[in-house]
This record gives sequence, structure tokens and C-alpha cells, in this order.
Amino acid sequence: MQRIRPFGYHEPSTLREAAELLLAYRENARILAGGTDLLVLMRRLKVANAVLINIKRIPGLEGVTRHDDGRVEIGALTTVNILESLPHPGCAVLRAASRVLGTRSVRNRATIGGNVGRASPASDLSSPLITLNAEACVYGPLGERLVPMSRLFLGPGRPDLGVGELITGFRIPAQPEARGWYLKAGRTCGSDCAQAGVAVQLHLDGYHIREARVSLTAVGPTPLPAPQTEAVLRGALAGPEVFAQAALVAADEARPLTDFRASADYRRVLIKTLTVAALTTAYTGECTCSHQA
Amino acid sequence: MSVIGKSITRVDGVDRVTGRLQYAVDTVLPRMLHAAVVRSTKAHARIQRVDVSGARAMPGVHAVITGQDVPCLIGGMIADQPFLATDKVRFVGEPVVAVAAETELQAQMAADRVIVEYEDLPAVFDMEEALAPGAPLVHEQPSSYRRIAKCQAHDGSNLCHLHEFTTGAEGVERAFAQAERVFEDTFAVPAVSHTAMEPFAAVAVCNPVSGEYTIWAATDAPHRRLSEIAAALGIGSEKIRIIVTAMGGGFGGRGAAIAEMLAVALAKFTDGRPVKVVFSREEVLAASQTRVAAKLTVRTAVTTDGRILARAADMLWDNGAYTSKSPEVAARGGMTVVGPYRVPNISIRSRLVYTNKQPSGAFRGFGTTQTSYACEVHMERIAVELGLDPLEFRLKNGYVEGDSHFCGQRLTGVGLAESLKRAAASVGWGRQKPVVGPGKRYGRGIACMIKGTNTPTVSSCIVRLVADGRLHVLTSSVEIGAGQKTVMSQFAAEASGVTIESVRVSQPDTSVTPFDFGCTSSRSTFHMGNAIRLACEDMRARLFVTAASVFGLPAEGFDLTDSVLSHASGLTLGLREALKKMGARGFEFMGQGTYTPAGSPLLKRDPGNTADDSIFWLFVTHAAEVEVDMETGRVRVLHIAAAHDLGRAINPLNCIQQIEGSVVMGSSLALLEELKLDRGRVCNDSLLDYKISSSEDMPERIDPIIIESDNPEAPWGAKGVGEPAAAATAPAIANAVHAACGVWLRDMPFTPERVLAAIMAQATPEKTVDGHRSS
Ligand SMILES: Cc1cc2nc3c(=O)[nH]c(=O)nc-3n(C[C@H](O)[C@H](O)[C@H](O)COP(=O)(O)OP(=O)(O)OC[C@H]3O[C@@H](n4cnc5c(N)ncnc54)[C@H](O)[C@@H]3O)c2cc1C
Repeated sequence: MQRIRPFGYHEPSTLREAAELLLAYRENARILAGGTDLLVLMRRLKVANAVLINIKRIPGLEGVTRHDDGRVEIGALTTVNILESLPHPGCAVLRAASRVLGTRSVRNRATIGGNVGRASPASDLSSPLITLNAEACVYGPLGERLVPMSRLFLGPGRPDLGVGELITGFRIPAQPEARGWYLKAGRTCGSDCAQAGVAVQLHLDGYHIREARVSLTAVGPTPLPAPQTEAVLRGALAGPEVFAQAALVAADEARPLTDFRASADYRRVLIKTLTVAALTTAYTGECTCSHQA
Repeated sequence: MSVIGKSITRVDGVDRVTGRLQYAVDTVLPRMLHAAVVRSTKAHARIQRVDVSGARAMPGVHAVITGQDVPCLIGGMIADQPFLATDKVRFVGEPVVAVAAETELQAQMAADRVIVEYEDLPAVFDMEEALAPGAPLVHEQPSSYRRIAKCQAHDGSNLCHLHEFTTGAEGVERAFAQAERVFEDTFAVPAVSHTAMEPFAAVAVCNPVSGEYTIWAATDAPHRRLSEIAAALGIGSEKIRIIVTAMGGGFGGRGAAIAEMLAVALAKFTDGRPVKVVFSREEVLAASQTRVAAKLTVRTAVTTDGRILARAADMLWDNGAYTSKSPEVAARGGMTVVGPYRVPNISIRSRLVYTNKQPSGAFRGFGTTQTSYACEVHMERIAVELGLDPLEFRLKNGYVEGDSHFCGQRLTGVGLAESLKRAAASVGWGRQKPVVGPGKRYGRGIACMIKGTNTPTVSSCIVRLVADGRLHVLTSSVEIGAGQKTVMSQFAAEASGVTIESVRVSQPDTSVTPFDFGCTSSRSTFHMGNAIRLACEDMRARLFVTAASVFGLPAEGFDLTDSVLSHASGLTLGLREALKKMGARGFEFMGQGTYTPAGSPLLKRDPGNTADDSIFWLFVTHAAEVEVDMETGRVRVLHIAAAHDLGRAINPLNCIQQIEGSVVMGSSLALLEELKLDRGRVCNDSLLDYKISSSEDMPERIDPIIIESDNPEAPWGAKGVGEPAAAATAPAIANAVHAACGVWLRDMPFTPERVLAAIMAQATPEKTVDGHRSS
């Protein structure tokens, strides 16, 4: 039986305390949020000196706030089930992604901070946040800073966080007249990590796409912004032709690897179909089903 | 009131769903120690040094043992597996060192301190490469192993077992030479995990004075496991007792001493303290046993009007590094590649090959999930290419009552044709295809199969009618979760004449419950049912003799029904009251029954025919409706109609549950399941990556269809239902996919990626699709 080896454990009650602990334990320190990712990993970790810093006792890191001007702030400890019914217009892409993340029991514990913080290319919430032009609020020994989501990831498992830093939340600018959607494909129709996923956010001007944001999941070393795909969409008349064209570019823009979950070629196929479907759903309106492609 | 044919609620159902059942993992004994296992990180390597000093020095540690401490080899057919690796390791995950400590964590921490140094040896993973001359040998000298007579050793080769059968080489050759058409296909079936919900677990204690072992484990054949362990340890079988715990799923996976072996090894070194071994899911997936991966080449000679003239099969089966039941899977299981068809000329070669991989063994269906897939997709292709309706083609060649099986047995109770017709009707065979969404294609497919049972085997049973009117059934039939206890209760109530509420069916305990071959091969209902019947008749005879003398009436007129004792003369008495009158000081009536089909007139007449006969044959047809997404290759199973000839349904609800469960398992095998290996290492050793069907992947509709047929030796007509179900689903789905989009799927599982690749590889999809079928 593989057991979790002994580990250290702390429950800081302020951000400052958390930052100090992170600084003190450095590479051995691990932030514990919902634990749905970390605790699974811990069983395979053969080191005996991990130190968990549970941030759930720090007040003020939870919940969704909408400002009058349409900006939305989401605390890092907000659980995914809350995001599933996010009432804010313009945030459909995040809602959709939340609904297809894991199983209900996972969604009830998993946090948005943990999903982004693990910096997995397959994290379902990162691409949607990128398409919403969100910024991560980072707290650390040197104070606070804002990092655009599109620049938060250095590589698989490597968020651009310095020693002692943690994510406290996300800021999403107002999204007037925007429509978005997220779709992913897994090996099963039930819960699975994405073989590929597509987040789209269309800013419309009547039938015209004024601005488009597209980001791809699980087809690159990080959640992958897709500027060339966006360029195809930007300024175009929304409709099947441009969506199909964008899908081809997205499949091309993806940088997938082959592993036992899917081949690179197949991931490109998925990106193509998912892009068309996500754009179509985004444009024609949110559907209530959580069906994957 | 008869309880046969009634959907009696499961007798263990409430305990199961309220969490009261004690599984092997729940076993807690006083002073119990916990184990951790150091496993090989190499596929094939010589062990140069094992340093356990660091582990021994860790807190809470009681025993750290290596292969030197237990120089024993285990295996029911070929004893080639060490409890712990000695001079070399033969697969990634093989146990090398075992630790027993006060807590699981202490055991794990100590195991982390073990140092093993290896010298890599060239390894073999591919069956064909393993058989090539000069290939590295997994076992240097197989002939040195203890083995059953059937399994010949092949020194100097990785051939573990060879099984050949022919109705006559000349006839086969002539048939192929003269046939109007010959078809050949090769299929690949991967290793999969049984994925039982409960991981492997066992607790063992060794009495330091007597040297006797007691083992608590969920095993599907406690008496057979006992002999395997006794033979391995070189001790008398009286020195081992296996107490069977509740089982969290079997599916054939509990047909070897997997956790038991490690618990027993450690128990010898803990001064009488019990040791518990629990596998993690990673260990279950990567270091226990798998379904036998297979590569099956099937060749058939036919007339253009669709009469089968000959079938030849050349099959490779992947044994992995050590031998469990795979020789028998390759041999007896392999014969089912002929399918449920009249074939005059047959030639079969089955080769089981040693490779540096996790061992393989029994898996629900015992070879038929591999062979039925190959046989039925191949049959479909023949029908399609000959322009015949696949259903008609199967009906034309399929067995009917009284046909002769190639083993020389005359077949009785053949529900094949009815199963084919009813399954086909249920999916609207021959009707127009329904309209499906854009980019989707719809198809129907059908597949049937035949499965026998290991014959002859033995089941014994003792019943005790005790003073309070209860009937205790002492049986070693294991409740593997399929409802065995309930069905045994129904048999016992019916045969004895007590109410079903009065029946208690024991948990198997080899020191108490009599011999049974095991809960394998779909055999328990049939064999133990007969043993219970015989035991109850025996008990009734004794009861009536005593009643005759106590009540002064002739013994012949007595009857016991619904726990009421009556006599033709008019006497009626409640059973309990009657028993009180019969023995004021307390006593009981016992009966014993032993059933074996050996010598049954239903079996083959010609002992010279080496093909296995079977006391009953099960016939199954599954028909599928699927929708294929032409863009992504994803196959959605809309409907499976599953028609099972099971003799008689003793408990219809139980049968329906078995059928539904196995359709889910069958479609999961078809669409998702595969252990992915990278140079012998299992990459997907977690349930994140070893995918089984989730509720959303299951067929949208399942129609279980119970077909009844007559087998004169079956207890109340019941044959069995456990195994064959999972085998027909995959070929039905593959054939439906072909009907939908014209591609043949010769590799399982049918992942979207694989289906799409087949669609893309197909040169002119439109033509093939519309050309050939009405359904
Ligand atoms: C059955 C199952 C299914 C899953 N399915 C999916 C899925 O479909 N899609 C998907 O994306 N994920 C999935 N996951 C992975 C995981 O559950 C999610 O990614 C989840 O959002 C992680 O959040 P958490 O709060 O549980 O993170 P934790 O496990 O607590 O932490 C995850 C990582 O992020 C770091 N971290 C946590 N909080 C912060 C912070 N505030 N600042 C910086 N770093 C932080 C941690 O140190 C750790 O390295 C699944 C997991 C399971 C067990």
C-alpha cells in the first residue's frame, strides 16, 4: 500500500504569515487549498519533508464580488461549484468550464486558486480566465502584484510565482456584449482531464466580431492563448464560415504532444471540432447541457 | 410456495448497502501488523544486492523479508512464481522485499529505506519477439518447475504453453484448398484490469507452535487456493485454513493467491502476530493480474452461399512473467474461437508466451472476451463480403438442439437461435435506419457466442436442520457479489421444504465448509445447486425416518413444505414443533450432497477427442445500436439488447442485474479499457488514467432478454449467467460501427482516436457504407 509519507502542516491566519511560512520552507512548502490535486499527488511523493500550508483559515479569500462597473473579483478559495452558477453576464466561458471540471464531489472542494496554481496545461479554468483578460492577484513578501493570466505560466507545473508568493484571487474586467463558451473532450463522457479544450470569448458588435479571445487547454506546455485564431475572428462577420476557418487555424496553432492520453494528431482534430462547437455555442447562446464534444 | 423463479431480494443486500459486510480490507485482529512491499522498478534484471538494514532499524518494524527467506514457488498450473523475487526480477512491480510493522505508515517508511541494486537484462514485451529464436529468456529452465501434466515445459523458449487441436489436418487443408472463399483477419485484444471495487487484501497469521496458517481473504476458490499455498510452502493442507471474507467484486481477478501470498510470507516471521496486506489501486493495476492480452488470427473457408467449411485459428496469448490460469485460458478458452457454429473442419493453435510483464490470468469469460470478439467481427466481415444478412448467416450456421459439438458432445438445451432472433428484433434489425444528427452515422450490429464450463468439477455441501427449524447450508460457494447466497438460499428452501427465511448460507471456511471447485466458470449455480439439492434430499430422508418412528406413521407419507411437516394420514405440524417432539434434548438432521458431472450421459462419448466437453453450454447474443461521430470518432452506444440462454432464471432480477452489469462491463472493455505499457511499465496505473465506463458512458438503453432452455441435469433448469455476458458486447458494438461507417475494428478498445484513424484510412467511405446492408 502506498501511503502519504509524514509531512509538516501549518494553518496561517493571515496572508503575511502564509508568505513567511512559504519563504521559510521554500521548495518543501506546498499550498493546500481544496487539496483535490495535492493530496492525490502526495501519495506518489516519496519525500518525507513536505510541509503543507493550509490557506483556508485566512479570511477574505473566498467569494465572488461584482462591482457596479461590471468588473468581477473572484477569491482564490472560491470553490468550483460556486462558479458553476456564476450569475454574471459575460462569464459564460467560466461557468461552462466549471461545469465540466471533475465530478460533483471534486467541484465541491476544488478551488479556482488551486486549479490555476497547479499550472497544469490541462487545468480547465485557466484558459477561460485568459479569454476573460483576467489578472491573477499575487501576494508575497514584497507585497501585492497583478499578473495577466496569459503571462502567469512558465511551463507545466510552473506558475510565475516567486518564493513566498501565492494567488489571492482573480480580477475580471467588465465584459459588455461578450459571449463565450468552453468545451473540452476527455476519454470518457464522464469526468476526465481534458485531452483538449477550447475557451472562446467573442465581443460582438451586432453581427460583427469586434474582438475575440481564444485559449486552448492541454495542447501545449501551458494553457495556450491562440492569437492567430483570434486574428481570423477579429473584425469578421460571425457565422459558420469564419468559425470553420478559425478552427483550422486553432488546430494549427495548438502545440500538442503525444502521450498515452491522446496523440498529438488526435488532439489537433479535437481542437478543430471543439473550436467550431465552442464558437457556435458562444454565438448562438448558452446551452444548459454540460455535454462535452 | 415455490421460491424458484422468484426475484427474492438479496439475502446480503441490506448488509452490503449499509456497510456492515466485512471485506478483507476490514479485517482487524488483535496485535495485527501491517505490510508494505518493495516492488521491482525493472522489467527484467538480476538482483545484485538487497540491503534491508536501514529498513530493519526503522521504528515499529517487526519483519523485513526477501526472497531468500521464503524460497517457495507458487502456481496452480505451473509453480513458477516466487513469493518474493530471488535472483532476478521479471516484471515491473514484482515484489522484492516485504515489511511488516505496527502501522501502515511505519511499514511504508521502512520500505522506502530498502536498497535494491539491479543489473539490467534484455527484456521481452512483444509476444512475437519473445518467440523469436535467440530472444532473452524470461525463465531459464521452465522444466524445473512443479506443474500439472497438461502443461508441458518448453525449455530454451518463452513458449509457456502450447495447445493444439484439429479435427484432422488433411480435412482442414482440403477444405481451405477447395473452398469458394477464404477469409482471414487478425485481432488484438489488450490486457485489462478487473477493476474490482475492493483492492486485493489478505490477513494471515501463523501459529508459531503448530506452524499452522489462518488466512482471511476474499478468494473465489478457497479450497483450491489452500492447495496451491500448501504445495508452495511444502506443508500439509491441514496446516492451512482460509476464511473467506465478503468480496468487493471478483470478475476472475481473485483466482490466484495475490495478496495472500505476501501475507503468508510475512506471517512466518512475526512470532504469531497477524499481518495484513492491502494493495493500493496502483498495485492492483500494475502488479496483480490482468486479462490475457491476445493476438488472434482467424481463417475461415466458406461457400459463397455462406456455409462454413473450415475454421483455422492461430492465437498468441500473453502470459506475462508468471503463470496463473492463462494456460487454461489459452487452451479451453481458445477453443471458443470457433463460435457457436457447426464447423466440420477445425484447426486451432494456441500459444501462451512468457513476457516481462505483469502476470495475466482468469477474467470474466475465461478467454471468450478475446475469442468472441475475433470470431464475431470476422463472421460479420464474411457475411458482409458474401452479401448475406449477418443475422441470417449466423442462424444458418449456428448450433441447434441436437447438433454435435466438435468435442463430440450432442448439444442439449440450445437457445442460440432464439437469442439471435430476439436480440435482433429488439434493435429493429432489418428496419430502416433512424435519422441522426449532422456528422453522425447510425449502425446496428449483432454478435453471439458460446461458453462452456470447466468439466468435470466437484461441489459438495452439507445442510443442517437444527432444532429451531433453521436450515444451515455449509457451502464453500463464494458470494462474489453476483447473488450466490440468495440463489443458494432459494435452492435450499425449495429442496428442503423450509421457508426461505429459515435458510442460512455460510461464509466459506475451509476448515468447516466442504470442498467446492470455486466460484468460477459460471459453475456455482449449476454445480452447487445440484449439491444442495442432493444434500437436502438426504436430510429429508433422515428427517422422515425419525418422524416415522416418533409419530408411528410410515416414512413414505411424509412431506415438508414451507416449514410444515405433514403426512398423508392427515398429520400437520409446524416444523419447529415437530422437531421439539422428535428430540426433547436437542439434536439436528444433517444431509450431505456431492455433485460432479463426471460420467453424465450428457457429456461426450468419445474420450479420444481431446476437445473439452461441458456439462452445459451457454449461448448469448448481443445486438447493438450505435452512433458514430464522423469528426471525432467517438462511438455512442445507444442500445444493447442482451439475450442470454441461461437455462432457467432461478432469480430473474438477479439474472437481469448480471446481464446489465456485464453489458456495462462489456461496453467499457469495448470502448475504453486498456493497460498502457511503456517498456513493461504500466503508464495508466491510476483510475484517473485507467478508464472504465462512467455512468455517462454506459449504453443509453439495455434490454436484458432471458432465454430459457432445457438441460436435464440442471438444478431446476438453471445453467449459469455470470461470465459470457461481457464477451458479446464488444463485437456487437464493432459490427454496429461497421454498419454505421464501414470500418472494421480489429483492435480493442474502440477509442475515438482509433475509430477516427480507421475512418480516415478508409479510401472511399461512402461506397462501402451504402453498398452492403439492409440494417
Ligand atoms: C477525480 C478528480 C477529477 C478532476 N478533474 C479535473 C478536471 O476535469 N479539470 C481540472 O482542471 N482539474 C481536475 N482535477 C484536478 C483538481 O481537482 C483541480 O485542478 C482543482 O481545481 C484543484 O484545486 P484545489 O483547491 O483542490 O487545489 P489543491 O490540491 O489544494 O492545490 C493544487 C496545487 O495548486 C497550488 N495552489 C493551491 N492554491 C494556490 C494559491 N492560492 N496560490 C498558488 N498556488 C496554489 C497547490 O500548492 C498545489 O500545487 C481533478 C481532480 C480529481 C481528484
